[in-house]
Amino acid sequence: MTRFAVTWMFVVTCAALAVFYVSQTVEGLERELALQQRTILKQQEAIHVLKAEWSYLNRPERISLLAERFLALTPLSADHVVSIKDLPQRLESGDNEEVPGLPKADSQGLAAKATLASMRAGE
Amino acid sequence: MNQRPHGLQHRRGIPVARPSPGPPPLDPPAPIKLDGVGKLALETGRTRLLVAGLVFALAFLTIGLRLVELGLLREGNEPRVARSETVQPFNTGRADIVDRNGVVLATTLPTQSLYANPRLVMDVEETAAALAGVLPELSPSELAAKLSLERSFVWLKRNLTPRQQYEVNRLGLPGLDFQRELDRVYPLGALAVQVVGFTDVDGNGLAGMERAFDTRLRSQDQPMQLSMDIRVQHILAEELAATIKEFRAIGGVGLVLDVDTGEVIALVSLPTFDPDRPGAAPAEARFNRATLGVYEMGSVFKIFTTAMALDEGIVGLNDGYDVSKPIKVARYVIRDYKPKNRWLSVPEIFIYSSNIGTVHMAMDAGTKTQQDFLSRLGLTRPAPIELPEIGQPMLPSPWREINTMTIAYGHGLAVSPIQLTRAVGAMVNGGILKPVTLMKAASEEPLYEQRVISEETSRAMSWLMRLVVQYGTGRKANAPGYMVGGKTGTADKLVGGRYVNDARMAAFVGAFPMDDPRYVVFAMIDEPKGNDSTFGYATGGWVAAPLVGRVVERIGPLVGIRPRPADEEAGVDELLIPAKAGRFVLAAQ
Repeated sequence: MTRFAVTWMFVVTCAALAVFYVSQTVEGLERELALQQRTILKQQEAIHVLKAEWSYLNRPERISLLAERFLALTPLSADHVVSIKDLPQRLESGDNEEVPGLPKADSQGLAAKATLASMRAGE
Repeated sequence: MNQRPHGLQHRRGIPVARPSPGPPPLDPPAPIKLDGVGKLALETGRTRLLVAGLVFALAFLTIGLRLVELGLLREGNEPRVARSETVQPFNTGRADIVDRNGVVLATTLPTQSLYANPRLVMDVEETAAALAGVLPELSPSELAAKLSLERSFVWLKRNLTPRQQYEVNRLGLPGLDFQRELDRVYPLGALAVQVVGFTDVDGNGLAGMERAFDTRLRSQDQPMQLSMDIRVQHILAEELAATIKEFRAIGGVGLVLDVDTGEVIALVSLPTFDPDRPGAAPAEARFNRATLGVYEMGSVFKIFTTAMALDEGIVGLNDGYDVSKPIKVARYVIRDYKPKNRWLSVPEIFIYSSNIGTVHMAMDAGTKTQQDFLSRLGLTRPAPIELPEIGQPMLPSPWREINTMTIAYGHGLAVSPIQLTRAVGAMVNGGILKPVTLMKAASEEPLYEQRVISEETSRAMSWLMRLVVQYGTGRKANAPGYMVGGKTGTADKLVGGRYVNDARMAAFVGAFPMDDPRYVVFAMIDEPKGNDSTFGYATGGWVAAPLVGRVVERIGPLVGIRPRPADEEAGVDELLIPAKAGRFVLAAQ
């Protein structure tokens, strides 16, 4: 009788402790969750404000001022567009003439092949 | 336990015989009798033991029951399947407005508003003076008046910047406090205000899309995407402002329309105003000239007269009229601005913008045909666009023969720029009138569309407009590589029912590229004054045409149209447009 009761009391106590532990952990997790949710909201609000700021900083008149000051770019005009057929002819293999300022053309393209092979091997 | 053999008891596993060896049993003890204090103490002890036992029993019972409940039973609100918590996203209560590329045009930001509890303010004069020191736009006397009110709440200033809030906090004055509020912010300022509109301090849409879509903006979190491209808008606004300055004009309108989808890519009305302070703007700045204003468009209307005559088969491209004699009707005389004094072919009439020739075409078509045609183009009804600011076109009533004549060259009928641009879009896109919209099209298919002229007429009109820019009145609109076509227009302004000679509207409506038009660009300048660089001229060809040319050249690459080298530009289809009809020879010009 006593052993039975003691066993049960032990089991009940263990179970109760386990329940207590679980509930405490859950409460802790819930606090953590609420904290995280508040953080998420705060971050979302910050992102929202930053988006507005980004848009403000990207005002076209500001961008054009900055581009004028810092970039050597001009608006695109028809002269800037060249079609493929307007490009100079590629050097045929064989006519191994030297172009000033450029490395001597490699008639077999061996150097290029070697580079390609080493790149492939590297992958 | 009673079933166990009598006399044997297992105690700690050792059988013990009974009676146990030990001292002989004594006589049964005499019952102890306790009286008085002793008995009382014993009874108290027993009672306490009982109570404690009961409490423990109850506690264990509760725990046991709770265990059973937790383990075996299910609570009603308990989910069957574990799922992750969803976070309520940040919500400002009013959706953002963005352009077609997602640039924020209007957003709602949390701000701090300053209020006071006058009952807690210690020294009214000192508080007012200190506040006016950090918020210079508030006057000390008004502040003092507010702070002396017999209330416990009074707004002092709404929507402070973080810096202002810091300054006020640093004063450390009692009775002042902040309330978190949401404020509508327009990061791009005045750039798109005529489209986006503005709200009041409580976030109710008062104008533009803010007003038209007030309910949608409140109910949905998703940003509302407009058809506008803010880069194109900026270029158009910048060029318009430069032209207005150059010709000392009082205002201007610009529109860029996608002719295939009906989307408005840019809409500018100048002068404009700051959406954060709409109250400070004069009425004419808040007036949307592009959709609310209606104007007589002048020779731009010859596009419609010519298209009508061609489409109805009243004239062919080889036909023409003698324009040497002015037309006299009642007390009116219709003349040409630069008379050619000879027979002109239909393309010539269009290219040189001959009033006389165009009136002849309209007269041959007749009043009924003209009315039907213009109403088919949507020029007699308000434009179907989302904005609440929509102008009612002004039609002649009754529509007499003289009205037919003047309407042929764009006088006596006033329409809004958006109506005109939409109709011109139908002239060049293959002949189909599309609904115009400020919302980015969800699909390529518009809700409704209507064929208004044949594809052939549309192609002819495109090339005629191209000829105007190549050889006619619109030469200054040419943008190399983009094949701009268009039509100039200059209308005397109607002031108090009379035409004023020195006040006019200079307009140009262009499209590009003319071999397959994608965009229509419209520009109109209000009361330009000629200057030395234009030899005193302030007509559409001198004022608005160069503006459109510059705009096309700048927006072309942005909207994805490749500028073509001169030798790749398609020439006018000679089968379509007879180059040598009459005495008109293209190459000779």
